[in-house]
Amino acid sequence: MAGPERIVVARAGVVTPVGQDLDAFWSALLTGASGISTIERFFVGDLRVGRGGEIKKLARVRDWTGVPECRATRLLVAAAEDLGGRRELGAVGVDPARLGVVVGTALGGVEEGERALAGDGRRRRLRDALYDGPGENLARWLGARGPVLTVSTACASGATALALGADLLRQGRADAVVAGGYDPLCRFVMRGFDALRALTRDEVRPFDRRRAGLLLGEGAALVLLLRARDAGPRRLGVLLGYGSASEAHHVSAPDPEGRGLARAIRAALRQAGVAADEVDLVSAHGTGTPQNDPAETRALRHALGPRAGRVPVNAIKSGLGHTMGAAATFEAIMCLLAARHGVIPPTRGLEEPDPACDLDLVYGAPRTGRPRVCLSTSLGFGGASAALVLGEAG
Amino acid sequence: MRGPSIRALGLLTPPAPDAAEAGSGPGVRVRGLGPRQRAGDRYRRARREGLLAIEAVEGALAEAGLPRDGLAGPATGLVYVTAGAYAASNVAFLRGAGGGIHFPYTAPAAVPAEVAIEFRLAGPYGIMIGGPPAALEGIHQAAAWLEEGAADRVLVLGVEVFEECVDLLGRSRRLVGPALVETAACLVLEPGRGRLTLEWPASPPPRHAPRHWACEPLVALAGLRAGPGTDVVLHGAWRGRHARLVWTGALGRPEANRTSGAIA
Amino acid sequence: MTQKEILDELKTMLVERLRFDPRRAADATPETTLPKGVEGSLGLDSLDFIELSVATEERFGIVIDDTQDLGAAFHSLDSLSRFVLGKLGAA
Repeated sequence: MAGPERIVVARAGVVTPVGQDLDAFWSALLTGASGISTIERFFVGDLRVGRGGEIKKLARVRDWTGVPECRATRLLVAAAEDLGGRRELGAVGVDPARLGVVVGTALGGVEEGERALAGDGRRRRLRDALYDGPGENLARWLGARGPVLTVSTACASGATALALGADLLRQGRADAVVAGGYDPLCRFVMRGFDALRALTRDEVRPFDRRRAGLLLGEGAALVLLLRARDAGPRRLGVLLGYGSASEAHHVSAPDPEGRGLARAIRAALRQAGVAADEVDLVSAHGTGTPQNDPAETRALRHALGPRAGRVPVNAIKSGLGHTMGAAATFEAIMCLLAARHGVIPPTRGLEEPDPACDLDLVYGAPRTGRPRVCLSTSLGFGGASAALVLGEAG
Repeated sequence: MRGPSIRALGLLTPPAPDAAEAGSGPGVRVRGLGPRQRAGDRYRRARREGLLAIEAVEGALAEAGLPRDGLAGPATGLVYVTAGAYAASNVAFLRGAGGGIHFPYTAPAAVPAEVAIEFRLAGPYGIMIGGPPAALEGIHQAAAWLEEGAADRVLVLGVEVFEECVDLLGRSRRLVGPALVETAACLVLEPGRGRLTLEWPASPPPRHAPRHWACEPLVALAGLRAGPGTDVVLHGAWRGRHARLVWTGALGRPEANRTSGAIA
Repeated sequence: MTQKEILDELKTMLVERLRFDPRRAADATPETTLPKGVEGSLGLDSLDFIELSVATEERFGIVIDDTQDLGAAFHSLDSLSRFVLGKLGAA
């Protein structure tokens, strides 16, 4: 995102376990609603934990004609509908050849791959089963003829996608970009995290001394990105900066010192031209695993210095579950809504802060305050660290 | 965009087929790189994709004349590009072959993680999924990081393996084409003096089934390095779209355009 | 089950679940330490210990309480086989 051009987040669209449009999502965050339930769509009876943020019924789209059966694709289309769909893009007046699509995902089309291996041999399945399948399907649904990219930096994917979308605009390779992230719940990922003993039988409790693991969720989150000079008065906020780094530590466990994430945060602040003292809200990765939360605390201390103990910090994975590829995009949208509404959602499930996570944690009730500059952090398998800096619409 | 210079390109591909192999029967023919052997407990859990990635980096280090820790630190960026390299580990897990220790390796991120851990790369980081256009975007991303000073050197790493999924791949000849060639490639880029432009023309792409999937442009680049000239144009077509990279001054040192290639 | 039989099962797990080379596992003795960072150990990290714990539960039909400090139990093949023996005896 180098260069002076400001990138505006004009609109957002979501489909989540706690609501299928932006207003419902925001209300649920403020009230601390839970979207966690026993998973019904596929068999989980042989797993230690069979709960997650499952979207029981995709209610928004009535007519799926022309949209593949692939669940990941349908999550993206549902979020795109909330974004305003083809109608909204038409209103913005974008030439399809100049409309880009960038999506982030941890699982890609693996859910389709499960079905292909289970014996469903329809040719369609392979095309949708590759990681870039759902993203391509979304582009086709939007009628986008510009660059179409899929990124997969594990749980940081939703941030990487926004950054790459902003780059396309600054480089003049697109005039509008639909960017965001998605992931469906499926047996593959439930079995995997269950085998890692990473799932909690309790609630998800980020930064709580009783935290015992994460729960997974599904959903899709998309934003419409425009250059500031092309964006009308209707704006959600601004994308100020992005940073990424490899931890170079371990394939699945985070670096307890959080050095990679600290590097990503510093790079994002540098690109945004923002000092640590100007950050008004940190949206933490906050998965609620024993290892993540203290490592993230260390990363914030390394990167923000004394400010780390004074800036409000929240985490929203507890009510949705960890939505993997969508997570960082949900968190970015939450930051901008907090700036717009002047209130910070609480961290659901946090009741007894761990002394090792000595941050100004927001929990118990929403906190009044208008965060003008927000920092959103993400960490994925393989040490993929990412940080986004977002600003109010102003 | 400032065009980077090529410091090295490590490339692993199987030997060329003989005439008898060029057939058009049902299913898809895969030319594989075979199992990778690597002594030491450090690699005990690594999957074939990860081991190939490490070998490709080693090839690039050899050409660049750098020691094993010559890339270490936060000034080296890494972009990993692939369309299918995670599929082998995913399919193995889906078929019930592995437990918890296998699962993290099903993420595409596990392959660059193997490389980042092995060579202690701690700089900016990206992963692009898709066919040949993903590699072109990867080169473009590398150029952007070099231009903005986010890194002094960037690796564009591509791995494609197909042997483990050949039965699945064979079901979709339209997407896959008649033949696939496993490949691992590592391009090392440093600041240069040329220009780089990437576009996605709206016109229909040329009809072509890329055998090396995301590694296709890197294989093409290796071929171009062996020839005369300093400028390259690389194409990538995938799923009905295509991208075109015009890169002047890519081959800035005619006498040193040797790719470290291993015929495995 | 005897401790020796348990030990042999653990060595099988090293190969089948943790992907150790069979010769490496065969060469291991009861005194062979497990965790990374200990001189001469098999070098297991956190991911390996999760897998070993799950495999041990499944193979021996025991439950390992992972909220407890298991460092001592998982220190060596000898300590782990004694730990399993104790669980089986208590069952």
